Amino acid sequence: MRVDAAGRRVSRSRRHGARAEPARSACASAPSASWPSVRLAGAGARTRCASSGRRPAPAAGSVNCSAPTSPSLSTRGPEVAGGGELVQGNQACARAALDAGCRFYAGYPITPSSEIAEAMAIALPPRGGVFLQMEDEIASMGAVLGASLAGRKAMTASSGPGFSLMQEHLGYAAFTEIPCVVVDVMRAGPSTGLPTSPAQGDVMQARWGTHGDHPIIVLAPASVAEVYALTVEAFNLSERYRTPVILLYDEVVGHVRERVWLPDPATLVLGERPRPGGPAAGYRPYAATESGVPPLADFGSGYRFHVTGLTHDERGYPTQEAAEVARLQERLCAKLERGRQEIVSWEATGVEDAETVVVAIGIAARAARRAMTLARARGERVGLFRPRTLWPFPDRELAGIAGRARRVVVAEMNMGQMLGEVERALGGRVPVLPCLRADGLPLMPEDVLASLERQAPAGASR
Amino acid sequence: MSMVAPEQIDYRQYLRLDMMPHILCPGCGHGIVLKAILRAIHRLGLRQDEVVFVSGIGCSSRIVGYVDFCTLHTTHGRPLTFATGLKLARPELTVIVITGDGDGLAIGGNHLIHAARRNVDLTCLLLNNAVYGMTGGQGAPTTPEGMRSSITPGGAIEPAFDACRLALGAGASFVARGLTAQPLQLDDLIVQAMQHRGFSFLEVASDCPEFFGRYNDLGRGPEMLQAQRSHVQWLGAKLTDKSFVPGLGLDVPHGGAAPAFDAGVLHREERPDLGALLARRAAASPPRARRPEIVPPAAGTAGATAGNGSSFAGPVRIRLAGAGGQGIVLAGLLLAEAAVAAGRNATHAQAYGPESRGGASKAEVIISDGEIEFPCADRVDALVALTRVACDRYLSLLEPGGTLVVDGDEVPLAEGMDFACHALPITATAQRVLGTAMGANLVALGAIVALTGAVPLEAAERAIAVRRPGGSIERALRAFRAGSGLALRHR
Ligand code: SF4
Ligand code: SF4
Repeated sequence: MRVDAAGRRVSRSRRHGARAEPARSACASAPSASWPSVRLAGAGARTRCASSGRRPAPAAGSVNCSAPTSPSLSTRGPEVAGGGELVQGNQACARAALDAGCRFYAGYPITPSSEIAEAMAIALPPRGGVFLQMEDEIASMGAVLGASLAGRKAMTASSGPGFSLMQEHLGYAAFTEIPCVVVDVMRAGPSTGLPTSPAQGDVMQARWGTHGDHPIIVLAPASVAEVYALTVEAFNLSERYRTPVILLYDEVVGHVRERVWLPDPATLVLGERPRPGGPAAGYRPYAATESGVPPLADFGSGYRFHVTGLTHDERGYPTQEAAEVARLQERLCAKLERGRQEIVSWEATGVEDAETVVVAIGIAARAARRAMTLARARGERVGLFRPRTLWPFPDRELAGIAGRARRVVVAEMNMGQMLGEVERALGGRVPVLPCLRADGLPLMPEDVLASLERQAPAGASR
Repeated sequence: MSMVAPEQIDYRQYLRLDMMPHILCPGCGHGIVLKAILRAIHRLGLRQDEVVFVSGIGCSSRIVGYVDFCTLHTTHGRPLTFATGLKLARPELTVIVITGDGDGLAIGGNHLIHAARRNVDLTCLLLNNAVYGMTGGQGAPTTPEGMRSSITPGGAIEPAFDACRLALGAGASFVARGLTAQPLQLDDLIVQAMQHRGFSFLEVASDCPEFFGRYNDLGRGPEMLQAQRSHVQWLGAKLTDKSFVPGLGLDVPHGGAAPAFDAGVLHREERPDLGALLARRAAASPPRARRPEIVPPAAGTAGATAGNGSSFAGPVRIRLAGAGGQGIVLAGLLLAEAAVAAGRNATHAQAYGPESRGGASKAEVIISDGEIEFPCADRVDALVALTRVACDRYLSLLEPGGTLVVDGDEVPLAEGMDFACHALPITATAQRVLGTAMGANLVALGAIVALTGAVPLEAAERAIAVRRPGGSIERALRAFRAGSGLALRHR
């Protein structure tokens, strides 16, 4: 636990792995903090609390748990105020991908993700990278996996309808353990839905969109700065764990421009997939290593091996042997469970004294953060819990924090997808109430405030 | 065509003996093709480490598992997509794609078309046995009319598919057809296909005695091979002219007889493959300035007084709205960039309809000296509306006492509104100073900057100079200054 410049307590999960470098911040969104936990309404602040004439109550501290290269949003920024640049969420994603070493992009145009493809189309070729517009999202994911097997860091980006088409190859990537990063900029669905409108309807598709049991990592940034940080993190986790990583954010986060200070790429800590160093003969691409993540050789690097979507043994050869099948399934699930502490990342703000904890991701978390400030200004003890890793869901962490609250409100832009997960995490110990919006408009602070009023804490122990 | 006798080859050096026994049925043609591929690789003297096999799903695709190379057994119909990424990421590799008629022509037909169109330097062997073997003998897109399968017991009624003609039409630069019944010629075709630079498509008529043979009383392997031989017209290397295209393919007799088909190299052309084109393009595009959107920080301007002399008291929420194509989003962007350049915090959110032009368009800028917790505003302190529709739609969001700027020629304003109302001739001013209505967004920007003091005028001008809207800084500034002048006179 340490205290940062703004006087907030910041905790980090203990870091795992052999990297000697201390975690460095991938970025900061503001000189002091992105969403300061103490906000005093200035004379000119045109907020409801200011016009009501009451001073806002200071919020409690902000607790952060972050993975090594994903700084909390309250990481300190540059020493001097001012400067920074105005960057769009999707542009930040593309820049982070380049800075993280991505040198292959294959995709298919779809709103609201197309800015990522456009930026990569311009930036990749001069850097020796490859940009391809494929015939569909199925092909895009296939090309990404082929390029990744050739040793490149590779990515694609899409939105709900295209993400649905990618599910076949997401399953393949998870099962064959090929690193890749997939960005899903969520728009309102189902089906073609509202092509230019925000939503958060892919919470469950990101987890369970493909068939069969499979591990997956899903990161959910809520600001432009965090899109940058978590894109870098997505590549790092994807490489270290040989797994697809999905970066999931809504249209607002993708299109909004915010002032950010992006880091010098040279200062980033970048992860690489484990590669074999021993003799080529006898190389086992799916060996049960101690870390659970076997080394992956690049195709064409002298190691000859077989990759198949069939259930396979340690050599990669197809097998129907029940014991082998079980061994593979268990290793796949265990590899993320073993790395859970490094992977899982969340931020809790104002939760120490909170009677109500709001759980939200993406732009809904920003609305909840605003609502929290407004509610605290009128004396209500409201806190915010924000998963940065949506999957694995920070269930134990949420339970530890929200278990003390009188109620939990889940604010999301769908019909209640994360809601069930929060209920599962809390196991019935705290009432979980919905604050849902699925009409193509962003969830607003007023929506959260209204749900707080509707569901007053007194006697709310339903 | 030169027929080279098979060289002495020890197949075992190319096989994963620990993967044996294989799953193919006795008499299956796919084994014949596999051996032909190994002979071709041997003949070309390729090292095992530099050759990659990629396949899809089906009996034919399973053969890659048995060879000691880097082998990638992908999903149903998609091997060409993986191979495309692999080849472009590592051009020095020789990539051979094995697919079947169901894999490459039904579920993966679209990928075949586009791989051929892109002319990716791949060698694609499509093993066509006119049936789905692995799933138990269902009809395929290549099952000739009248031929029986497990799901067409009375004979197929849909027309069959000519893979070579499709590949040719899609742009494959090498198209050939071979037969399992003529393995020596097949060796030769595989060698030529691998030597060709670009997308080489080689259809191999294979045989599935287990299902196609049984359902159609064609006998076992030897009889099926005999039938192939008697129906082929061996064209040889001379038939590379496109004029032979009309004669290409399956002339399908009804009634169940195996059709006659042409074989040999059917098409060959030299044109640059996609990898070469991408490399050429990359060499011609030097890296751009890394961060095109950087707005240079204006030291010392933080908290400076704005153009109208009042000091800034944020946050200020400004919505600009109009019709798509009016440059509303750009004006908002300039406003936010100016704020950042002036050392302030800013967010810019935009919304637009599915129309590229003409629909509703809006941008929302929040400027603050503090943090901006939520970057969208449902209440605004200032509204700029260039159309009547935009004004009607968003007026209710304006805080009492807020600033309203409208294009006075477009939007009639009611009397007695509780806002600071400014009906300005925005479009007309753009027309007057620039000779076009296209600068109306910059005129409006000038007006709102002058009226709200949300950013210093000079910061806005610097943002304009960096972004060069419309391509001319001078013209853009003229429009902007006309707008601020309008507003200051109107105040
Ligand atoms: S089912 Fe047909 S295609 Fe498949 S292995 Fe047997 S003979 Fe060959
Ligand atoms: S295709 Fe037609 S409607 Fe679509 S953007 Fe182009 S001009 Fe506009």
